[in-house]
Amino acid sequence: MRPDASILLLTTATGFGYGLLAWLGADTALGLLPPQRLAALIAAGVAVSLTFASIGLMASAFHLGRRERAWRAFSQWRSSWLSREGVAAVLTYPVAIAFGLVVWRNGETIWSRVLGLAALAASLGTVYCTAMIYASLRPIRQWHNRHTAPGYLVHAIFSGAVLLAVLRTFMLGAPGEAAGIAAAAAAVALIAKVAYWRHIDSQKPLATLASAIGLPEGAAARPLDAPHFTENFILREMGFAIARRHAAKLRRLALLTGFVSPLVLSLMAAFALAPAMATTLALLCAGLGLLMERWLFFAEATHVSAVYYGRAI
Amino acid sequence: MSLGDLTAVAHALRSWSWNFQAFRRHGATRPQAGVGPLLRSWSSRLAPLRLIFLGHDELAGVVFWAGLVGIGGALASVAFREAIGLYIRLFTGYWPHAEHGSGLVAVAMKLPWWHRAINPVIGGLLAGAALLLVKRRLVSSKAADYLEAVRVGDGRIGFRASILKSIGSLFTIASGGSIGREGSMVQLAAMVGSRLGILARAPVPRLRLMVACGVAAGIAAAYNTPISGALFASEIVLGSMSMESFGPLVIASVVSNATLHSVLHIGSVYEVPHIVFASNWELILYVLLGVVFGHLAPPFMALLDYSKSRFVKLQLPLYWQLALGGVLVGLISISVPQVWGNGYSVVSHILQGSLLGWMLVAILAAKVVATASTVGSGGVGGVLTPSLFIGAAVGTLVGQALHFLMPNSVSMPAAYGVIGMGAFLAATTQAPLTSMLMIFEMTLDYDVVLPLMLACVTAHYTARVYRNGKSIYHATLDEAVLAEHGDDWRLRTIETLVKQPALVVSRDTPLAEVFERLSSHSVRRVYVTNGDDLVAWFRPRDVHERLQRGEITANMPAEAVAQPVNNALTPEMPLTEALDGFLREKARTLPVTPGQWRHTLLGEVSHDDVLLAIRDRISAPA
Repeated sequence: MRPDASILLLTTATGFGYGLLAWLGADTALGLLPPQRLAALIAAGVAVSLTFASIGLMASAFHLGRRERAWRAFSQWRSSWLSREGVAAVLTYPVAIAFGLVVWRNGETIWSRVLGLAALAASLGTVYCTAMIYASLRPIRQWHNRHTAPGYLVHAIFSGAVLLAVLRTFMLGAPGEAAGIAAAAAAVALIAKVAYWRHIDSQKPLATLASAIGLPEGAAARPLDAPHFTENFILREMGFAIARRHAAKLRRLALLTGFVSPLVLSLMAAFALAPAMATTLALLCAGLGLLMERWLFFAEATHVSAVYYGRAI
Repeated sequence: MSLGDLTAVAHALRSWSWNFQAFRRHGATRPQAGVGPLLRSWSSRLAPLRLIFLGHDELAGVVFWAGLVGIGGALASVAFREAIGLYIRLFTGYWPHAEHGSGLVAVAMKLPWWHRAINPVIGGLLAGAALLLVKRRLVSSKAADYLEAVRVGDGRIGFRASILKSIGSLFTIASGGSIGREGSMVQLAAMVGSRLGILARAPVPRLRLMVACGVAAGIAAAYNTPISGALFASEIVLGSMSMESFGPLVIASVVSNATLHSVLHIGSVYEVPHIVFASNWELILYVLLGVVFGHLAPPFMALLDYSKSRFVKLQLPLYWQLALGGVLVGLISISVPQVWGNGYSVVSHILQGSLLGWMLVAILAAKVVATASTVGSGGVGGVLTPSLFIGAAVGTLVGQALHFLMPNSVSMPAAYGVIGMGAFLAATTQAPLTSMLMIFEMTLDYDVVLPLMLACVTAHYTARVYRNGKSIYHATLDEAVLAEHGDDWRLRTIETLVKQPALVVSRDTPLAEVFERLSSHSVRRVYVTNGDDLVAWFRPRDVHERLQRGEITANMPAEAVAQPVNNALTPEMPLTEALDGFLREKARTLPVTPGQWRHTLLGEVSHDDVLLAIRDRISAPA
């Protein structure tokens, strides 16, 4: 599939935003955050997370062909994951704002815990809906598998943890246990990504030209002529192909910048070695690496319809 | 407040005053309505305001826009300052507490040595990435540099290129690069000026003036020195001192400084002790000091050029080149953390006498090398602040030496430091007037004025012998651009100054209809045409008065009250010839027609624009 800049930005930026919100909610619900400047930390955190989420959602608007019809998507939540994502994203705003305001006004109360849990559920729910947009597409084997949805959640949790470490260092002067958590999250995300890549490398193609026209297994077929003389929508959007060696190089680069570097840098911060610089660099690396990883997620996905055009999927 | 908001405000003001006019006319037709007279008297009192809000061809309009540029420039520089603080907090964990300057050196001293070494490298990489985006993505004809935009360009400064360049500069400065932040503040303020000028549809010479207003606003906000802000813009950017341009510059500078004070409560940039001079014969020593600095400045500038050429010869990608500069600064700062940043606090320490002898020599040497590596590696920023640093350090060293030789008969070393700052600045920038005033404004100590004036002027004359009198700023101008175009880009004829006239009516239009179509009372001339040909013109104000006196009636045709056109300009007319026309006619605006035998109305030209364009030519860099 063709990786579109707006979609890359949507999935990564919302990952950072909702991931941070999820961590803030969970930490408040469990009472894990340090009491000093808690209200300021939560309020700033909610503002930052909503900013990231809004940037992502605005970027996604550039992907739409007919933007004036976007509102109609909200009505189709019973059948469409895209619609559910939109509804969940919109619902997350009041929950997050209420959570931030309650902590800002009253500090830690039973309500802050309840709203923290609600923010956790709403943000992870939105990320799940985003993931299911891709996981629900049966013609794309790289997406329609049991790795996609957990992968998206793990990456959002990882990016949120990295962002929280920066925020805590910025607001309080030290990352506290957030740096260690970020390092652990980076390790989990790394494993999830490697597992995903191994899984899609071991998959069999969904269909070949021979199986599509009902030939028995082992038979071969080839097209005599190209189905189209010019490029069409399907070739443009779904026929995107990436060379295997190029993909392998990009995978190594993405692993290094997006997962290994944040892991090392977060560990550095956890041991109080220049925590501010380490967490900030971890955030920059994670952002860059996740964009690369997301680019690959789209670029490596093959649609079954490309078989018609003689492509191996 | 963003640029968009400013636009909205400007539009709102314009439409408001337009509606006001309509309302006033409406009221005039019904004098019996009770509130009418009251409102009329109010409206006539408010009428002078209209001059400010209406019409960009008025000087009042320039004043209004210069004020806006002042506000915008100050806010841009405040935003830049805050962004630097944010970056420092994010990458070092400390807030730079800005009592005097950025406090970057204080932050550097708190960090472990390896962090000091790494920080400029990371900053260099990030800055290189940002500047690479400027190079790759934004290949546009618009100038990104304010000096280029005014001196060889048409006054248009690219918005995105400026922002990205400033971000690159921000990474360099905030990560410890030895360079001044005023460069980017001025750049941003100049960009605001250019954008507002385009918004005001200013013709080219006036657009350049608006950019210069931005520069004045930027300097006034960066150093808290309003007078030298205006002088810098006219001495260095415009290259001339005429009242047409100086007025707007002063307005921009004052408004910018006032805005700065209302947003941030900052004092002077440097903390200078009160200076007591020993005797008048000491003035001779200051003349000698000026000569010394006059000889020191050209080698310093040559060092910067040499460093640039060495870095370019390495042929590295821009980010590695900047990172290499960062490596050098980082290595130096391991043992001498004082080289970080613009060094405001270090200069204050030097002047207060807490750095002595060899310690000061070491810091000075480290600072020169660090500045050469930051500037040479392509870091974007101001060289004015490092110049001040070097001037203060060398001057104080000279003062200490003199004090050692003649302990009873020379004044304190800080005096030589302060005068040295001015002298070195005058020698590097080739702008003695700006340098004098800048140092005076920074110290606010009247006693420094006499030695300062002497030293600045001698340093200026001495340095002019080298480098054909080119200043550190002109080194940034692309020589190739100048060589290729010469001064062809400067206006020779009035062609580009032609604007659409406010109102053109045909000869038989009744006066009532003319006034109906008149959008504002400040329109100077209404042109009367016969078909396409211009036949006559009249001043709506005069005709309005005659109408009120009852000499003429509203249903008379326009031709009956208009005066024949004696003197029209042609587009290919040289500027001076056009000026003659204005003097002969004693007019502020004149119509433009294709030639002596063809009278099609092309537009009109205003006297002020022609004057600005002529001044522009006179001040061409020869």
